[in-house]
Amino acid sequence: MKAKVVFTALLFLSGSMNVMSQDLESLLESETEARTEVTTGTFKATRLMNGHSIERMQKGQLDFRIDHRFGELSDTYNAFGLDQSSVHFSLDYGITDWLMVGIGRSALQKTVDGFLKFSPIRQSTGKVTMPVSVSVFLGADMKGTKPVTSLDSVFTNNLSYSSQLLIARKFSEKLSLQVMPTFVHRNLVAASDPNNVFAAGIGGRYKFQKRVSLNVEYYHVFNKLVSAKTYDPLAIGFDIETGGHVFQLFFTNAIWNTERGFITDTQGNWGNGDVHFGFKISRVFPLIKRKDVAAVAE
Amino acid sequence: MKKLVLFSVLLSIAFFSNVQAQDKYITKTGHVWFHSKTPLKEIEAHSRQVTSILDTKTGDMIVSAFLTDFKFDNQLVEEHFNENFVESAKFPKVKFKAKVLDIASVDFTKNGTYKRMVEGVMEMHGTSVNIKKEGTAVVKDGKIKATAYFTVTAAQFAIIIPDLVKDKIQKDVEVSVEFTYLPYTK
Repeated sequence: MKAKVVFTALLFLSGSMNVMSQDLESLLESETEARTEVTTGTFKATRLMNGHSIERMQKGQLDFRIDHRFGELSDTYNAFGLDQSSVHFSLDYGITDWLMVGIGRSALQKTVDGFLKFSPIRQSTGKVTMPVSVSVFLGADMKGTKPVTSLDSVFTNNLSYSSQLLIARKFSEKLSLQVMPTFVHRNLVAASDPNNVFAAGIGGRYKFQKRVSLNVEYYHVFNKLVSAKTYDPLAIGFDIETGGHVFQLFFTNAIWNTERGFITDTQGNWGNGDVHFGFKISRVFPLIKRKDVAAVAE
Repeated sequence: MKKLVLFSVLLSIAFFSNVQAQDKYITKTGHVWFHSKTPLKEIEAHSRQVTSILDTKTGDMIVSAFLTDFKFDNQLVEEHFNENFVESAKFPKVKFKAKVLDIASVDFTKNGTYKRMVEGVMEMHGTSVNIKKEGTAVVKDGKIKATAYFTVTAAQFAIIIPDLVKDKIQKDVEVSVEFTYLPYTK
């Protein structure tokens, strides 16, 4: 009888002791609120190849970019096009985590361009689930070449506007896809050409190695020009991340890397071998020190 | 009657043990940061959302942090840290399950400063590592300010650093921990 009592007493005690240490971890977990995990790294850069991706610079981050395009690969006399290069510089800045601004200049027609990219929706899992990331691109560009005709002297005649809806989904660590409905308005066009051009783009990346991805980007232009023969821009290339820098190497029939340019002025054709090699490099400078900012709980 | 008395005594013992176990402390805003400096590059990242629970009776301590909570100055460095180094999509958390040694000699009811060894297992990037480091606890007005400063290496956690950036990351990365534990009441 006494043994039974002692045994039962010990059982009660040991039971409650065990419950204590096992519970500690689950206790901590129960105290932690459910969180939303925002998907990052859908693409390795803010540009896919010719056009933009849904990625943006976060608040206070400055991105200096250089896009370098060469002549045609078939031009062996000019070292497969390397002798002829066209450069586009740009400076992008994150005003807030969801609003990015950028300015750039291209050697082609001495064009100056600027844009705003809003990123209102980010893909996420957890407490708040969102299947896609969405960004809205609003750009304008101005031809900078000296006026030739009286029409060129009218300032607004040199302006064009582009807008895009960028919708992308990171399906896995390896695969991301994006669609880009696009609208370009050019103020001054040849009499037979449309001022408003509609296009739809599709692109993606496949990360076949931890630091290297294969990218494809294609835009179909619905109402092409009549005054000149233009083609749909297609780009194929690689993003290589080397611990700090992202190098984007690609082949494309487009010579422009701004929207008005590659949508309405791609006169080269992959079928004819009018392919150009190009690369983009960028360097990020943090202008606002983030590590000292107190974290905001999701 | 005797059985009822006995049962009540046993129940009280069990209940009493549980009441003793209410000496738990918790934080959900723990500050952990790590720092690496080489002649080529300086890297630092902070999280102020680290959670931890401490049982002052048993010395059991659990620390849990999400790797995506660590903020770097440079957005690109932060993205690469998550995507290529710690692979946070595969292994989202850092967990430390430890025991404070000789916690019985700490009087949590009086203000004071105590140094004790903390020993346990740290799990990150799918790898578990035994860690035994010294921590300091300052008990003040019912709160415990716990700090610890130590180093870890990427290799310990099977984190691969490519040759190209080997000279940019310090071998012994300095880790700093500063928690303010408050009594856990529930």
